[in-house]
Amino acid sequence: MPPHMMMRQFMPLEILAVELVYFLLVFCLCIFIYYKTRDAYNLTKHQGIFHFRNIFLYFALAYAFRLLHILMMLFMEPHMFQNIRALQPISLLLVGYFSTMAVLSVAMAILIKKFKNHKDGLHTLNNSLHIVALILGVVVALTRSHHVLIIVLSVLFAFSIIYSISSGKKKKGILSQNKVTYLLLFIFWTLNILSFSKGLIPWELKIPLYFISAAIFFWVFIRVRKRLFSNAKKKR
Amino acid sequence: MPKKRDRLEIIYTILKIIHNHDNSIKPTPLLRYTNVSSQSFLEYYNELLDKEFIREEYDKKKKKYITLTDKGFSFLEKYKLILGFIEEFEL
Repeated sequence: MPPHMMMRQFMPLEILAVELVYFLLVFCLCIFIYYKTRDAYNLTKHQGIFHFRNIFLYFALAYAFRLLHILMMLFMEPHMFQNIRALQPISLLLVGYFSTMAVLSVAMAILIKKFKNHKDGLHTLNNSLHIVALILGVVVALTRSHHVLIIVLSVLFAFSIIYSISSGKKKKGILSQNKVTYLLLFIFWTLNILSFSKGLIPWELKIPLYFISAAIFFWVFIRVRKRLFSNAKKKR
Repeated sequence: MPKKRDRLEIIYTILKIIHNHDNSIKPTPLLRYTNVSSQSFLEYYNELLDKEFIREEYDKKKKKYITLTDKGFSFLEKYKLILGFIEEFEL
């Protein structure tokens, strides 16, 4: 028997439990980060903080619709629930839209310093992000291919990182701690999308991947909390 | 050449000046202490009024004074934390 056949078969309920715990962890951490930075944004209306918060808002929504898509894949046999199966392109559209918005927000958070002196242009650019994300979402839904999404998001992300490295000051090295964090968030999101392809990532590998992915969100949450709240507590 | 102050730093300076004057200062000395052009000052001043960081009050002789609101005090309190956050995440 080939080695991959000898692997333990996971039951749908076990898969569901793992996916649900993973989703809840990531979703709660994203929402905590979004909520914890609310005051900082409301007081300053700083565009960098705006995009930083949006990264986590959109990732939270992307992970929510990813779970929905996985549930549809898990519990629907080919001849069952034809009506619900028809909803799959809609869940793909929403995953595509929100994950593109998250990656575009990452790009904006990385590049925001370059746009500081173009306030009017920045407003138009912020609006056009939604149009780009919607177009990509529709393309993904129509083609029913998440590979299109991965390719386009990879190009967008690579462009923003390369542009930022080539035009920025190299005080903090080529890749700062932040860019590494953003890169890891992106890589793990890509792996999450790849798991839409059945059997591409074995379950034995998925659990450690989910653990590391949740740990990265937790790391960002700790940094946000430390920066915005720890000193205030000490003062009291 | 000294570094040009950014928007947040100027807002902090204006609020700090009001705070340091027992939370009551006339517009002209505020402009002088802030050390920006009149046109820039007016933009910042209107923005702070719009955001309700400051408010205008009048004494018995109908002279205008500027004071901080609760939101203004909150900004002063959190400014250094927010600045640290912006630096930490390179925003």
